[in-house]
Parts: sequence; structure tokens; C-alpha cells
Amino acid sequence: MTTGNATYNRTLVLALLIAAGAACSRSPKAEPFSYEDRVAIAVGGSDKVCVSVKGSLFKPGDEVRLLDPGTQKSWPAVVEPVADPCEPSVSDVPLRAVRVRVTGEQPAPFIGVAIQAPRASWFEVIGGVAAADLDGDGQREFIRSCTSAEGVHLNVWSGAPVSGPRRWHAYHYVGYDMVPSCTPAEIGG
Amino acid sequence: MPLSGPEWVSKFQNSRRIEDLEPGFGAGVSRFLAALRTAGATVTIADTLRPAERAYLMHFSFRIARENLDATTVPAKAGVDIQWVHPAGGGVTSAQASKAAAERMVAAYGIVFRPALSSRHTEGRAIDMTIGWNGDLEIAKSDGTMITVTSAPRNGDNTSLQRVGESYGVIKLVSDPPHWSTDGH
Repeated sequence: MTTGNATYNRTLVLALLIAAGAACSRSPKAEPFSYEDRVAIAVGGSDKVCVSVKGSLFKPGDEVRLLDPGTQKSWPAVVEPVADPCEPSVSDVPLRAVRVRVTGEQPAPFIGVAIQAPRASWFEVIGGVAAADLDGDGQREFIRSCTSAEGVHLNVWSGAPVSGPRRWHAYHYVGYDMVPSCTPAEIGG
Repeated sequence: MPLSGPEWVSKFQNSRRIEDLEPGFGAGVSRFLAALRTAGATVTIADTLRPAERAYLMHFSFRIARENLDATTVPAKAGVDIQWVHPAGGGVTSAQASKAAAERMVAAYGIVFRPALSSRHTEGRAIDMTIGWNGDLEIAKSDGTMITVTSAPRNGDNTSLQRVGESYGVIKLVSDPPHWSTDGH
């Protein structure tokens, strides 16, 4: 009995240690990636970059990545404590303006996206389209812009541009007329 | 004749006035806006008339600066006495000086994509506006019949509201949320 009890106890302790180890090695449950919160419209002018955000992210001091889908260039930036003199994009839904400071080479004026995600620190260019696995699901996201009559449509697709599932879409009103380049699939939503 | 440069940007400003629209379209817009406001909707107008002179200045400054258009080939436009071709001097050629001045205009206008030369806005046949409301919207069509818009979204993208706009001759362009015109272009 004594030997049996000792064996039982050793087995129990071993099982508890294994269970404890497994619990310790398990990472905290990851939050689902929210495109609405983590991707925003970015407008770079000659003297400032303004970002129009929907959610509560993009707080002062946060590191973000700016991307111009037209040139596929990207820049690191930090959210400034004061939004002034930035105004949010003209929109039917409430947007909040934040100002960001580009920490490296200054961009030429652009209309693109700001992304707050660890995986947005670098982009590949595939078939002329900027791509990165933003949400960490193993599939690349493709980011493109196109023009309508007087605005820019910004889109993020997973897997393939235009034909893949659309993860995010936004419209930025430019206030002058242009020659449209968007396809119907890039406009809706 | 004044040389091209950023001082041109303050000339030929866009309008937000209904009175600057083509009279027939303007009348329809006025009645539609009155119906919206009576129904309790909020309306914010961004642009009505965009002067053709401004479109000309934006278009050709962009093409000279960013697309290497030869400044000597820019057609003249009545009412815009701009001199696109700058004299040589200070160690730069005329072409370099002309392009640099055009680039300063592009920056001052805040242009990123090539502007169009003409549009429904330059014709006074378009308006850009943001519309919103809470709850249901009970609104009169042009013939006086009332409809109640109960569906979402509660903004200019609402197709029921767009049918109301059509009754006033104010047609939505689907690709551009703020844009309404005589024919949806």
C-alpha cells in the first residue's frame, strides 16, 4: 500500500506539474483583429499628416504605419497629443481626427491608410499592390486605392485584391473633380 | 500677364451657395433641402459651383508639375490671364522655372490626383452635401406625398431617400457619398 500510495502521489504531482506548465506556457487569448479600429484614412499634406479614425485606438504616443497604396511607400509615425489643425474626413459616420508625426523620411502628399498593428511594419509589393498579413491569420492583406468622381476609395482585401474577401473600405472626399479609376467592386460598402 | 504660382490658388473659389447653381437645378435643390430640414434632417453643404477657371488652373498646374507637360502648350482660357511659361534666369531654364511654379500651385491646392477639367460642378449642376437624421424620417416628395424612411443607413446613401431626391430632380451618384446632381454624374 505504501509503495502504491507513493506511486500514486508521484503520478499526481507529475500530472499537476505538467498541467501547471501547460497553463504557464499558454499565451493570453489574443483579441480578434478589428479592421474598423486598426485601419484608418491617412492624408499627408505638405506640412502635416492627418488621420481620421472610427474607434478609440490611435492614442497619443501610439506607433502606427502609414501607407500610400498608389506608390506602395510606407512610413513609421507616432500619434501626436494634439489633433489641431487636423479635421476629420467628410463622412456620413462620425470620425475623429488625429495628427501623426512621421519619424523617418517625410512623405510627399498622399491619400492612404494608417494602420495600428504589429505586422504592419513592412509591406511586400505583389503585382503592384502593397500586401502584408495584417491580422496574423497566415493570409496576406492587399491594400489599394482608386479614384471616383471626387473622392478616393481605400480598400483592404484578404488573399487577393478585389476578388478576395473585403476586410475594410473607406472613402475620402477630396473636394475637386477627378477622372474615375475605380471598378464597381472597389466602390460599394 | 501674371506668372503662375501659388497666389492663383485664392482666386476663383468654390461656392457653397445654392444661388450659384444653374437655376433649374438650384430650384430643385432648394425644395429638396427644405423638405429635408422640415423633416428634421441635418444638411451640411460642402460645394455647389466649382468655377471652370479653378478646374483649369488645377488641371494644368498638375500636368506641368507632375506629368511633364510643356508649359508652352497649355491652351489659354478666357478670364484667366495666367502666364504658365516663366522666363529663364537665376541659373534655371524657363522649363524648370515653369515646372517649379506649377509645383507650388499643386502643393497649395493640395492636389494628389489629376483634376478633371470639367464636371457637373463646373456646370453648376451638382451639389456635395452630408445628410443625417435620427429615427424615422417623414419627408415630402416633390408632389407633396409623404413617405417615411425607416431603413438604414440614416444618411445620403439611403436608397429610399435617394428616391425622394429624384422626385426633386436631385440624383445621387453612388460612388461618391456627398455628391448629388442633375443626372447622377
